[in-house]
This record gives sequence, C-alpha cells and structure tokens, in this order.
Amino acid sequence: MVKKILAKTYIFLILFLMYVPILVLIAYSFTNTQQIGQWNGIFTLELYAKLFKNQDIMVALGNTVILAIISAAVSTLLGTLGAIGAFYANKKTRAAIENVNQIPVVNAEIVIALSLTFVFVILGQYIFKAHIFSFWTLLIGHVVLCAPFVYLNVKPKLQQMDPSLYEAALDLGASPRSALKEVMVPQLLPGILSGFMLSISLSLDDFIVTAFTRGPGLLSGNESIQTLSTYIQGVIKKKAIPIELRALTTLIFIGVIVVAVLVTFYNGKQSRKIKKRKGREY
Amino acid sequence: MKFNKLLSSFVSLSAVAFMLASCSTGQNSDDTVYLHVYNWQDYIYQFDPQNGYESPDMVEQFETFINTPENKQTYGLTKNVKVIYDTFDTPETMYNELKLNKTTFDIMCPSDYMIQKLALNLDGLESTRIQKVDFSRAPNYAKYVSPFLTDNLKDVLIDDNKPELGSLNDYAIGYMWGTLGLLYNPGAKTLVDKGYTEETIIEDFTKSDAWNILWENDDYASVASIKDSIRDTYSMGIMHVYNDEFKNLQEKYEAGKITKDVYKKDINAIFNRNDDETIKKVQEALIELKNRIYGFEVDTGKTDIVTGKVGVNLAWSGDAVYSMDQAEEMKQFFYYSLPSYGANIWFDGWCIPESCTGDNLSAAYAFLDFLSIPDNAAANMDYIGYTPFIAGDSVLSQVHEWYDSKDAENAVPYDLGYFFDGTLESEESDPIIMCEPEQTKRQLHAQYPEKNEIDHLCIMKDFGKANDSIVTMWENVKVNPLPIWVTVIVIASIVFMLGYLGSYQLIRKARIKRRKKLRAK
Amino acid sequence: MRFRFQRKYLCIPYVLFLILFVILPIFMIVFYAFTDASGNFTFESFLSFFSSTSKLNVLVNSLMFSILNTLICLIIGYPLAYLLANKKYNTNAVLVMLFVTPMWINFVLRTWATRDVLSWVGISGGTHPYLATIIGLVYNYLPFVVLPLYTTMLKLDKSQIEASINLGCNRVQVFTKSIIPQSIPGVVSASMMVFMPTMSSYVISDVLSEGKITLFGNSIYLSFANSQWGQGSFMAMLMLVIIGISMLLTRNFTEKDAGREQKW
Repeated sequence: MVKKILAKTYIFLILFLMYVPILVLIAYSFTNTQQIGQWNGIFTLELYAKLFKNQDIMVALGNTVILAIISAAVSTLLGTLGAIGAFYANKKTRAAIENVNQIPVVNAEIVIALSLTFVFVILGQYIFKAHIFSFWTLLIGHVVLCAPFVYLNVKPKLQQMDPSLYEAALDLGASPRSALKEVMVPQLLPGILSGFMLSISLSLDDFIVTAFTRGPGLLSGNESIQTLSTYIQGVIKKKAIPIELRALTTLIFIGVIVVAVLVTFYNGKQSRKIKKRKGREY
Repeated sequence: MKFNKLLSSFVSLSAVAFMLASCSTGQNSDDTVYLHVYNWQDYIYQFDPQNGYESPDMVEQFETFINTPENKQTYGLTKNVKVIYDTFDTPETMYNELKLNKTTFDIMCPSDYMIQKLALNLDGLESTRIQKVDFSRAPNYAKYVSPFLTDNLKDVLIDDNKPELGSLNDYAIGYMWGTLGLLYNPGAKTLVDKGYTEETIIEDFTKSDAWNILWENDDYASVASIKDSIRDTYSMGIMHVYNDEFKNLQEKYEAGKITKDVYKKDINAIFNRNDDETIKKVQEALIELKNRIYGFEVDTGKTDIVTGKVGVNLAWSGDAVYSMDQAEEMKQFFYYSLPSYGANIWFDGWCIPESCTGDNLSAAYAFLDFLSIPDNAAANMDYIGYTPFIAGDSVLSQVHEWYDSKDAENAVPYDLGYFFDGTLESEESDPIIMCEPEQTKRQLHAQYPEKNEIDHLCIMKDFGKANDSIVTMWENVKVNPLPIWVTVIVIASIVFMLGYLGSYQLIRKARIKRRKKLRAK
Repeated sequence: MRFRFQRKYLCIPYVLFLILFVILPIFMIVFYAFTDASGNFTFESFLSFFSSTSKLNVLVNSLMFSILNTLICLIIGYPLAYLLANKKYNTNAVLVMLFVTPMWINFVLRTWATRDVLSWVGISGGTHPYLATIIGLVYNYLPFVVLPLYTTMLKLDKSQIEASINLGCNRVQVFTKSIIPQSIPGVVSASMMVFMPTMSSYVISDVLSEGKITLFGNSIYLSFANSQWGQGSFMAMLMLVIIGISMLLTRNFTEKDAGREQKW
C-alpha cells in the first residue's frame, strides 16, 4: 500500500514538473498582459480572438498542419513498406537497411538539413536546371526525419506477429496483395499508428530542416512556406514573441490531450479484443 | 478495403498538395511581372486594425499604386506588377540562400556590412553579385532621403584599396537606420537594492566613456546582457580597448585642432580595425567581460529588460524604442545612452542583385520609390518602430506629433536639422522639436541621436579577409573551458566505455569463432 | 519466368529513398569537409579543428552535457517506466501518453517558458548557467527516454521474475539479476536516442544559459552562418563518425536480430 502511494507520488511529481512551463503558458493565455511574469489582474479571452485574426499565424499554422499530415502519411507508407520488406529480406540486407535507417534518428538536425540542401542544390543545378526548392523538397526533408521512426515502430510489431498467418492466407486462396492488406496490416496497425503519431509530432516542431529545405508553395502561395517554427524565429528578430501564441499553445494542448485519450482508449479496446479472441483471461 | 481507402485518400491528398505547390511559379507571364522582395520579417507596414493600422498592407498599396497607366509609364512598365514578399531572419541566412541559389530575388534588404560583402563579392559567385543603384530611377528617394545619411554612406568605401568600386551609397537604397547603444533601467530593482539612485545611474551611463562601464562596475555588469552577435559585441570591445585613442581624437576635434573630415576618418579607421593585435586585445577584453555579465542574447533582450531579468542591455535603437514603449505602459522609464567617444550607426538598405533586369528592374525601382514617399516612410516608421532613411514633411510632422511636449514651459529644444535639412518643402516644418527634457535621453534620443553626437558615429564594415580570425576569436570568447579535472573525467569515462564495449565485441567475436571451430571438429 | 511477388521487394521504395536522401547527403558532407572553397582536396578543416583548443573544448563540453543528460534521464526515467508499466502501480494507460505529449507543444515556446519559470525560481542562466542548461535538457529529453523504456518494461518476462522470486532471490537480487539484464536493450536504445541529439542540440543551451554555454551544434551552426562551409561540414562529419562508432559498439546490446527470411 505504502509502495503504491510512493509510486503514484513519484509519477505525478515528475509529471507535474514536466508540465509547469506549459501550465504557465496556458495560465497567461487568459490575460492580455504583454510579458509573462507581470500579472495585471485582467482575465480575458482576448488573445484567442487575436489569434484567429492574425493572418500570418493562421497561414503558418495551416502550413504546419498540412505539412505534418502529409509528411506523416508518406513516412508511414514508406517506413511500413520498408519494415515489412526488410523483415523478409536476407540478413545482410536487413542489417544494411537498419544501419542506414538509424542515421537520421541519431544524426544532428542541422547536419540532415544542410546535407539535404546540398543535394537539392546539386540536383537543381545539374539535373533539373531550375529552382527546385518547393513544397516537395520540404516534404522530402520531413520524410527523412520521420520515416526511420516509423520503421522503428513497426519492426517490433512484425517480430510479435504470428508468422504463419500470411502463409495461411495465401494457402486459403488470397492474392499476395489482399493477404497483406487484410491479414498483415491489421496486425501491424498499432505500430503503424504509433509511427504515424510520432511522425506528426516530429514534423510539427521541426525548425532547422524546414528552414533549409523550404520553398514556395502551400498556403503561402508564391512565398516561401512558413511554418509555425519559422514564423516565430523570424518575428522575434524585430519584435517580441507574439502573445497570441500562448492561446495557440493552450488550444494545441487541449487537442493533444484529447488525441492522447482517444488513442489510449483505442489501444485498450484493441488489446481487450485480442484477449477475447484468444478466449483466455490471464 | 481499408487499404484502398488509404490509397485513394493519399492520392487525393497528394493531388491537392501538387496543386497547392505549383500554384504559380512566380515566373513572369505575358501580362504580369512578379517582383520578388526579400526583407526582414515584420519590417514593413501591415494591415492590423486591432492595433489601429487601418490602411491596407504597404505591399497592397503599392500594387494599387503601380497598376495604373500613368504610374506604369513613369517607371517604364507595360505589364502589371504583382509582389511576392519573402522574409528572412538574419542577413547570414539571406546570404546562404543566395549562395545556394535557392531562389532569385529582385530586391533584398540586408544590413550595411552584408551589402558591402555582396558588393565586394570576394567569393566570386554569380548569384551573390549586386548592381549599382541608378538614383535617377528612384526620384522620390533622391529627393527625400536625408543628406546626412547619404553623406555617411558615401564615406564608406566598398574596398579601401579599390576606390573605383565606389561606396556603399552607390549600391544601396537605404530603408531604416539606427544606432547601437546602451539601454538601461535606472529603476532596476537589483541596482536600487544595492543602493544606487536613479540619478547616479543616469549620470554613469551618460558619461563619455560609458562603454567602459560594464568592465569597471561589477554591479552594472551582473545585470547586463549583451548581444550574442559577433559584430556588435566586437564593436563594443573595440570601444573599450581603444578608449584612450577615441578620447584623444575627440579632444583634438573639440579643440578645433583637426577638421571634421579628418576626425571622422580617424575614428572610423580605429573602429574598423581588425588586425591580429586588435583581435587579440578584444578577445581578452570580451573574455573578461563574459564572466561578469548576465549573459548573451539576440532576440530576448528587448523583453528581458522589461520583465526585469536584466537592467542593462546592449541594444539596437529600434529594439530600445520597443522596450521603452513597453515599459512605459507599466510606468517604468528606461533610458538610452550613446557614449560620446564613439558609437555604431547601422542601417538596413535595399540592394538589387545583378540578375534583376528588364521589367523586374523597373518594378524594383518603382517599389523602392514608392517606399520613399514620406507618407509611406512615416507609416512604416509608425508600424515598425524604427527610423527611416526618408526625411520630408510627413515624417517630421509625425515626429512632432509623438514627441512635442505638452508642457511648453519645461520643454527643451532638440535639433533635428542635421537630418531634415534639404528635404523639407513646407514653410511650417520646423526641424526643432520642443520635447520633454527626459526625451533627450529616451525614445527620441534613440530614434534620432542628438546633433552633437552625430559626428561620433561610425559604420562597421564587413570584416573581409579577417572574417575567419574574428570568428575564431568569437569561438574563443564563447567557449567555457572546463576545469582540468572535469575534462579528464569526461575523456577517461569515454575511453573506458569505448574500451569496455570494444573489448566486449572482440571477446564475443572470439567466442563465436571458437564455438564454430569446436563445432566443425 | 513470371514475376514472383515476394514480401521482401516491398522495401525497395524505402531503400531507394534512403540511398537518395540519406546516403547521398552524407557523401556531400564528406565532400565539403575535405575540399576548400575552390573545390580542391585539402585537410585544412581537419587540421584547424584539431588544433583549435576552443573547438576541442566545445566538443568536451558537449560530451559532458550529453553524458550527464543521458545519466540523469535514465536515473529519472527508468523507475518511472518501470512503475508505469507495472500493473500494480499504474492501471491508467493515458498517463504514459501524458508524459509524451509535451513534445507536441512548440519547442521554442516551451523553451522560453522554461526559461521564465526557472528565472522565477532563481536558477537563471545569469547566475547558474550549467544548472539551468541541465534542467532544460533533462526536461526536454525525458519523454525520449520514457517511451522506449516503457515499451521494454511492458515486455518483461514476468515468469522469469516470478521464477527468480520462487528460487529465493531477495528484492535487490530480483532487480539486479532479472529485471535489469532484461531491460538492457531498452536502456541502450533509450540512451542512443538521448545522447546523440543532446550532442547536437544548441537552442536549449543557448536560451537557458543566456548564451554562455556553447555546444557542438552551436559551433556547426555558427560555421555555416559565417560561410565557413568547410569547417561546418567537417564538424558534421565528426558527429557522423561518433554516431557510427557508438552504433557499432552497441550493436549487440539491442534487440536480437529477428527476421524471417523468405523460404520461398
């Protein structure tokens, strides 16, 4: 009993400490004081209104979200296919793929950003003979960041999967494609989903790779794509950080909590379904 | 079933993305010229009704202005102009973008030293070359720019050894300018607690040699933050190291022993020293300073001083005005000091790359000329908070509006004639502002230095070939040497870990080999 | 011969992608590291790096912070993951997600908020730069440690633990002889996910120490900002080498190489 209380205390203490800065931001989003730390006693939702009227932030936010979703989708696709393929390849190939896969995971973001920029510049100069920086280069940059994480998330699920299911499906007359779709993918779905979520969170926050690989496109039209991070970095040079962003943080936080709760319930339901199917309760 | 759905949604998403991505390539078409502008972020008037800025974006106003037949004819255009407005966060980013040839721009607004670097083009790259400006194509600028500033620009040669290359004035159409000085809070709590009165603090900071203050006074230093930027901190170091030389020159100048031109040439020369000896001295001075100050900052200083984290800040004048305005709302009053032995004057200016020709070039001049109309310059000044190159009646009347003292008896005269003379057209425009006495040291002072300070202002040039040594110097300053025992422990633990893991691998390999051998037998 | 669909061919798009956008860029970095401005092969960057005491000092600084950060994160995160994974103490799965969600809040905003909070408490970068930086680093990288350790803890073989108890081990021995060895792959992967990114991070140290502490990532960024591409590339290459070495040495500590080769 005592141990349980100690354990809970430890967990909640760390959790609280981790959320203190965010809670501060959220608290200050309900007032209109310019600086955090000066409490002028006014409680207002003014910042939320300001946030939605701020054209630049809305465009940057839109870009960020669209980019995150698309790059997460592409990374998930590539990463999952890569993981499945590597799982069934011979040892040497698999080792090679996994080693290369590890590089973007541990590499410095600035190195990834710069090296990709060099490659794109060379490609632009010698192969396409045009300025190729656009949404596509930005997408590639984000996929390089995220796909290895999807791979790392799907791989353990592959190892846990029942190996004979696929072959059983083929024996029962399914084509390889439908066997993959109907049998393998549902088994791997938790890994794929967590990879997808991880990709989104990596892509939302990224600054350096975005700053180096972006070009015109998306909601910014003919201008270089601005994501939330690049917008903030740019605007603080000549002015202070826009206070509407506190409201944005609160909204993102609420959204994230909702998503987290939904995902955990989904996972919980999945595991209960599997248990039921096996017919035994441990 | 699920896979099909996923596939189709992915395809449709990518189709949308493709459409969004290739909306328009920004290439000129038969009836439109695309003017590609590259500027700092938040550095032009924008539509912001919540804060009282009711007019449309300056860029939009320009498009409305230029797309009329008479104006098109004035600037030699036949097509309509559409502006693509991009932003960068630092001139170095801008330079890298140019060097990498990621996109072509028609006009860009870097800082003075960057313009010099581009004009000098030591790298020899095509994409980073800029062209000389033809002032006849920007008549508003020629008419309304402050002669004081263009004179200053003319003094800065692109390459001292090659006067034929011209001066900064040949390559730039100035946009905003300011000074680098000391922003301080006489009411800073930490200082007050230590027994300093407001008057003492103000007095200390308005001394001629106030650049030494952070080295001499530990209390001030402990609440001071300086710029995490090589150039600005280097200039501060130079002011400290050569304080005596600056002092001597100033005394000679005030006594009339040397002319203004000689004085200005000499202090600029000292200010721009970058030989090895100087670099070494500045390095020592900065290392000494580093251990006493609160810290380095680039963006946070202007808000830090308002929140009370620091009490003194090495600030650009535009940031200083911002901080002073913010603090005033909370009934705190900050001051800005330009020590009179010498200070840095900086400017951001528009320059045109060589690749900009034909219609784009005409559009570029039209845009720059539009920005140089005093009304527009005043609007920019209002929105951004920095001081424009443009003088003229509208700007002057705005300055009057902001700074004329309501209390006529205690008002003191602040002479801006040095800036506005030669550009005023109206009879009623009076370049002397009757301001509150404090303003001579506060916002007005930050926006326009006092008349007797203008001769002491020096422009900092690009470091040229000394760039590498100065960057090394900066690294030496910023590094924090760890005590020997820490270094030894770190290296020892790494070697230990490497050894452990390495030998583990080797032993493992040996074991596997042995096992294989045994099995083979 | 009809084309026989084999699952292993599925990885081809990914492999192509990796070659083009991961391997090729590395070659570019190496190219820039060993050439000077006009494209000639030179060892200049190599020499200037190793002869510069300040750069070496930065390297040692970064190593120190990385090691410290990894250790502290592991010390805090290991018991955390164990408790979270153990049904006895925590039946709420949402709690785990809550540890990871701070990552979704924009990094810059989070760091600046941390700076403000730390100043209130009195540990500002002005007075305690090292402490503030470490706190910031741990705060930022703790989720990276909790997640892998949590998944490892979930997969602990409960029967082995029960067996060790049945065979007479006391609490401490159960922990050291059964739980820790099983969790080593998780610990290794968690350390890798913290150690390397800390080496290359620079925003946190910049903001929280008020610019007084320079880490390796900052050096790289400075070089590129000042157009010293050769130097910057060399340092980037050095980071890749460090990564390579650490991957090589910890290869056998991670998950046993599992895969199923195509039988047909």
